[in-house]
Amino acid sequence: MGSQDAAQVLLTASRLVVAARDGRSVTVDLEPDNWDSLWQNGLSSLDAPLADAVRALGLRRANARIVFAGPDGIVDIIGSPLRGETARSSGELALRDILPQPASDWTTSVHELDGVRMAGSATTLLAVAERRETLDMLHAWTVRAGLHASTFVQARAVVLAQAAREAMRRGRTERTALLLLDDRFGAVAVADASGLLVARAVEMGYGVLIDAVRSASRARCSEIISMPRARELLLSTGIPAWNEVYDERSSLRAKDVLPLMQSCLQKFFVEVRQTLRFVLPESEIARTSVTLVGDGARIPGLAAGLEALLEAPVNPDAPTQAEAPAGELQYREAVRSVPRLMPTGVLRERQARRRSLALRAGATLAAMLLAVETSTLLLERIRIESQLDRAMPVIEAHAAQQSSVRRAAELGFAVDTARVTVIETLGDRPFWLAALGDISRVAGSNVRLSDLSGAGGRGLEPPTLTLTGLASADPSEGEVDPLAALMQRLAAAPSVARAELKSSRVVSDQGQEAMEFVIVARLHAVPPSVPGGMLAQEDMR
Amino acid sequence: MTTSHPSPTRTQTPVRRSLMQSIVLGGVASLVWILGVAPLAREVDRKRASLASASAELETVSELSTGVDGDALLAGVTQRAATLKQWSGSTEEQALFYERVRALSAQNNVRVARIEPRGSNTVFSTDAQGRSLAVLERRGFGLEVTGSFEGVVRFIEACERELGAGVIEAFSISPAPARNDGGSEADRVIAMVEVTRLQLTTAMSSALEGATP
Repeated sequence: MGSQDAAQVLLTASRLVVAARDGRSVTVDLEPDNWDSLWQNGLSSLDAPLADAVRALGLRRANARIVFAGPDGIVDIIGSPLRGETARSSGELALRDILPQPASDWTTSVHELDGVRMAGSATTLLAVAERRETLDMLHAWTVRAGLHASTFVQARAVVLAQAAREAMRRGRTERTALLLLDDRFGAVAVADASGLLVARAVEMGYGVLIDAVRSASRARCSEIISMPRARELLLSTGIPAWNEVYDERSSLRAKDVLPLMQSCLQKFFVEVRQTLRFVLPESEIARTSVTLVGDGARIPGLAAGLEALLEAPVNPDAPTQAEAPAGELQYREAVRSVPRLMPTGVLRERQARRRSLALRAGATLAAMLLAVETSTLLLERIRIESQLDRAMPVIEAHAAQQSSVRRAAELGFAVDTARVTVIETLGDRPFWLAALGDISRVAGSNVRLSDLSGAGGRGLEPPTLTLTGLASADPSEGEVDPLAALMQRLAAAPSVARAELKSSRVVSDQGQEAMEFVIVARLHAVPPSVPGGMLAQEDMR
Repeated sequence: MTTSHPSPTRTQTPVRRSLMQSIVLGGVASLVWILGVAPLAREVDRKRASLASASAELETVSELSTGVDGDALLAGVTQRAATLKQWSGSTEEQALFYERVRALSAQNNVRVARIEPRGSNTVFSTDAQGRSLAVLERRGFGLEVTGSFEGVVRFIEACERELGAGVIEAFSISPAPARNDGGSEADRVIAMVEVTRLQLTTAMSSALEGATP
C-alpha cells in the first residue's frame, strides 16, 4: 500500500479481498462464472460485500488502492532506445498503436519499469491501458461502499512486472524462461545476461485448474465442490495420476478431472511455447529450462505435466507457505512500481479539488492582498495625518505671520505714500513763533510796525516775513541810522536768513523825522512738524 | 457493460461552476478594490501630496524665518496709519476743524471774527502699481483774527502746529482799527490768516482702512 492508502481492495474473478494497512483483511470468494455478469451489472452485486468488508474493517472514507482484473485491460512491456520523457512518450505512442479504436475510450499509463532492462533497449517501460468505463465503474463502486479510491492498479500489470523482474534476476547467471502463475493471471518472461528478452501476460492463471476441478464435480458429483475446497484440493493433490481418487469426500475421481486439467495444461504449454519461439530458435527451446514460479508452482505435478508437454525441464520454485504472502498481500510490494490508472471520476474529483483549492488559495491570497493593502494604506494615512497634524499649526502660524507681514507691507506702503505726500506738500516750514518773537525783540521801541505779513513760501521760494513800519532815531544809539540798526539786528536774528530792505523814505511822524520802510526778511525753514507716531523707522533713525 | 462515458455536460459543469466562482470571486475582489481600497489609496495619495507640500512649505518656513514678528509689524504700521489719519483728518471732518480753530482761539485769547473756506485742489501720487492715486485734498481757509499781538502770534503758531496736517500759507498782521463804539483797540491787532488744511482723500482713507485688519 502506498503511504497515503489505508486500505487495498483486490478484485479478481475468484476473489474480493479488502485489506487494512494493519494486516486485517476480509476475503469474499466469487464465482468466476459470474465474472462477466458482474461487470455487466456495474459491479452492483458486489456493493454489499464490499460495504460489509469496509464496515467490518472500519475503513469508511479511507483512502484505498484498487487492484483489479478488468475484463479488457491491456498490459505490455516495451523497450525503447530513448530515455526519460521522450522514452515514455514513445511508449505511449506504441501502446496507443495496439489499443482497439477509438483510442479515446481508453485510459493509459506508461512508467519506467525499475530493475528491468530489456535487451538492446535504453529504457524499459511498463505500459497499461484500461477502458475508461471500467475505471469509472470501479470508482463508482468504491464510492458507493464509502471508500475513497485514490489509486487504480491492474492486477495483470503487477503479475507481468513480477515475472519480468524475476526473470531478469535469474537470467543474470543463465538464460531463464519463467512462467509465473497466479490465481487468475500468468506471465511468461525470458531473460539472459543481455537483459530481458521478452515478457508477456497470459490471460489465465492456475484458477483454470480450480475451475476444472469444480466443473468435473459438477458433472460427476451430487454436490459441486466449493471454491475454497477446490483450491485446497489443487494445492494439496495437484495434478493426479489417472487411477487415483481425487477427492474422497465427494468421490471425485482423477479420471474425471484430468481431461479438463490436460486442456488447461495444453493452454499453458501453448503460451510458453509461443513465447519461447518468439525469441529463441527452435533448437534452443528444448535446451532452455523453464522455471515455474508464483502460487501455481505449489501445485503438485504441474511442473511435471508441463515438462512432458514442453519436452524441456520445468523446475518449480514455489515459495514456502511462510514465504508466500497470502491472497492480496502478494500485490502489496509488487504494486509499487506499476503504473496507476485514473478513472474519469477521480480525475474529475481531483481536478475539482484542485480548482477548489486554487479558488480558495486565490480567494485567500486576494483577501490577504486586500487586507495587507488596506492595512498598509490605513497605517500610511495615520502616519501622514499625524505628520500633517504636527506640521499644520506651524504652517498656519507661518501663513498668519506672512499674511500679517504682507498686510503690514501693503498698509506701510499706503501710509508711506500718504506721509511722503503730506510732507512734500507741506514743504519746509518757518518757525513762525520764533520768527515773530525775533521781530518783536529786534524791533525796539523806536520801530513801529504798521503791517507784518508772512508767507510760507513755495517751491524754491523761502518763507518770508514782510515788515512795514516806521523807524525813528533812538537817542540811546546816538547818530546811528535807525533803519540800518534794525537791518543789522534783523540779520543777526536766529530765525532770519537774510533781510532785504525793499523800500524806505523819510517821513514826518508826529513832528519828528522817521524812516518809513518795507523790509523783507527771508526766514530759515525747517521740515514740517509731524507727529512722531507716523514717522517711518528710517525717519526716526 | 451498462455504464456510459461521462457526458460533456457533466464534465463541463464543474469547470463552468469553478469559472463562475472565479468570476464572482474576481468581481467581489474588484468591487472591494474599487469601493474600498482604491478610494483609500486616492485619499492617501492626496494626503501624501499634502504632506509633501507641507514639508516643502516647512522647509521654506525654516529658510525664510527671519524672526520678524508679523503681528507686531502690522500693529506698528496700523498705529502709524491711525496716527496719520487722526493727524490729517478726512474731508468729512470740516465741522471738527472749525471747532478746533475756535478752541485754539480761546486758548490764545484771540477772537476769530470770520472763517471763510477757499478753494480746494487734489494732490496725487502713485500707488504700488504705478497708478495715479488721489492722496490729499488741499483746502484753504481764510481766518480773520483779532487780539493782542502776542496772542495772535501764538494763535498762528498753534494753527501751524496743532491743527493737524496744515500750514499757514500767509498772514498779515496790522493794528486793529478803532472800534465804532469808540472803544480803544490800542495794542490789539487784526490778522488775516490764510490756512491750508491737508486732508486724506476718501480713497486714501479707504486704503488705510482696508489694509487695517
